[in-house]
Amino acid sequence: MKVAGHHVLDAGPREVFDAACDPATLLAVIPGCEAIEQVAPHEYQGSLVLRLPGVGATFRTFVRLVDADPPHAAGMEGRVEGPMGTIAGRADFGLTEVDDEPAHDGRPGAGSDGRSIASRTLLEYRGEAVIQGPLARLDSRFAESLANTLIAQGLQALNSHLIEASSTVAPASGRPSPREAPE
Amino acid sequence: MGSRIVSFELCGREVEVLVSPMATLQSVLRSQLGYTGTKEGCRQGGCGSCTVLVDGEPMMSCLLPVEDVEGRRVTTIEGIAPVAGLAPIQQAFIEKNAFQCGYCTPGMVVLTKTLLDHHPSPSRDEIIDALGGNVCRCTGYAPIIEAIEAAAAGATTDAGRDAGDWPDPSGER
Amino acid sequence: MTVVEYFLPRSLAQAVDLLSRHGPDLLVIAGGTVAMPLINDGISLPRQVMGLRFVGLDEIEPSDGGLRIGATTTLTSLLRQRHVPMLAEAARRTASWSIRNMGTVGGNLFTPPPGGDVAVALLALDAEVTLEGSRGRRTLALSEFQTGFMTTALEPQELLTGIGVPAVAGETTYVKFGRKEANTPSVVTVAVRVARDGEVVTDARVALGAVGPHALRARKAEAVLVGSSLEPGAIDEAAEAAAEECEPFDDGIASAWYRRAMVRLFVRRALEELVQHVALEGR
Repeated sequence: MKVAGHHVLDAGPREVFDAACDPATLLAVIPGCEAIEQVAPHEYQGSLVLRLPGVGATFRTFVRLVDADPPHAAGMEGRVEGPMGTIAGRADFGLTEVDDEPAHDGRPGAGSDGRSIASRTLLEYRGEAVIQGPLARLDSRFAESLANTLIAQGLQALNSHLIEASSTVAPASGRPSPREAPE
Repeated sequence: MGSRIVSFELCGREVEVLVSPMATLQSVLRSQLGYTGTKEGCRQGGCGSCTVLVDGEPMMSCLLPVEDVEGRRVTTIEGIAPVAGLAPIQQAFIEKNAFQCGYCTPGMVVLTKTLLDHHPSPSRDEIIDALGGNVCRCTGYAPIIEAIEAAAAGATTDAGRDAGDWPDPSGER
Repeated sequence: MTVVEYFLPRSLAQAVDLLSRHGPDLLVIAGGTVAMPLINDGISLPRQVMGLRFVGLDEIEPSDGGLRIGATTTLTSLLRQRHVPMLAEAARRTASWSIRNMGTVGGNLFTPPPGGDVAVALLALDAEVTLEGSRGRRTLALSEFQTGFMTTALEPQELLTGIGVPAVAGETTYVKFGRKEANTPSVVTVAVRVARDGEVVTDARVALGAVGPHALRARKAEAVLVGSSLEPGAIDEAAEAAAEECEPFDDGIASAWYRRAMVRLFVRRALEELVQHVALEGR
């Protein structure tokens, strides 16, 4: 199974990187994540509940951050184990600051003061995983489509989380949008 | 937890069977009731070799929890033939060489008998349409379609000739 | 088979009660044509399952010029109804006779692509879904119900109980293109509906199946059509827009590249067919 894609997040690479390494944030944004704990400096384990018609189940997850180059890139190795099989793989992320690109809605992007709080990050990811067990009998498209849906939902949730986090630390302008640079 | 008695009408007889939860009708027919005419193919609903009738309508017995047929009327290939001889559609399958390995035949016969019951003289397109869910990997369908056309036209020899009695799979007859 | 309990409630109230007592671990099935293959293969390993075959949600009835379809209405019943021809056509092109006798309209909305074609026709008809649970009932546009690959807006305590098709204006066309004629997964499915005032298109729906995580509306194509007179240029432009905005995938049926090319072709053909249709009827 292979997944790849990109997503623009409304926060700077540093904020994105830190959020992605914070168990509390991960618990809040990963779809179906019921528990996550840091077991070593760059190792996490947790449980993931997928509620899908027919294939819902609880999966144990192990993730290790490798080749971390904060806040620009990181690799992740992991395993997801459930009653119908195991998914083991590796994913690589790249974070690039996007500045002064107009947002989709036509509003300006980062403020001219260059504060990262108003900047945006292009997150690019690419991953490969091997599926074993009964799950492996499914068309690989099934797992890929599912992974893409979960990644999209997770990144949307991460983005909302980042917007919320930055608006709570930057109330000065009185505006909730992180795209509006505070005075 | 779990096992329960399910009763339904099977080829004209009331049957009661103790089943584990969600056992498929197909597995219960074959392994618990001795009705081995219904075949197990893909178990995905994709091949039609497990086709049976529930209240006269074709269904895939591999996808049907047996509890779902409680109190209903189930007909398998064993219930298609008259007490003596063969149904015209069965005779037509023989005369037109509409099978080779025979694995798909019970499903084909159950389905096409129902087609002819609903639709005594179907067009070729209607026949092809009806067969859409039943896969044959030997004959290439042409003899099967010819058999159905022949049965519809009444162009088979007298059903039952040389066929003799079919044994009741339960051994009671 | 890991099932320890299989419930067959006899009413919606019983079903809702079972769902609230057993929570989201209860696998809900209706016709079984999606879940049973997964269970037979050991991919799905539910312990508790609820079957909806006997809850009495299998009625189709006309309502306010539209149609109310119970969630467990079989595809065979949908095929036989005469009120909305496009829905009969969508049912006719779905699976096979035996599967249509089992599979349900509600279940079709949970069927992952390249299945789930009935949803494409329903999207073009602005259908909405009714969801009921212990906390009450709500309705949602179908376009908001399907949220991702095999994911929906259904809350853990809710059941999909019905589908409402409003009285909508316009002509419709439904085209399913597969690798063979019958009982086949879709390369692409296109459902279009166009309402016109004289020559000018006032409202348009272009719904696509098998080219995204769920049935999709090609909203850019729709925007191109509104205000046009369905002239060849507008049709080409709409087909191009639909091909651009779809999200096709590779599978054993077709590659993403081919699916996108077929979106371009079949959106154009669906619109041309609609134009011809209207021209013939106008004579």
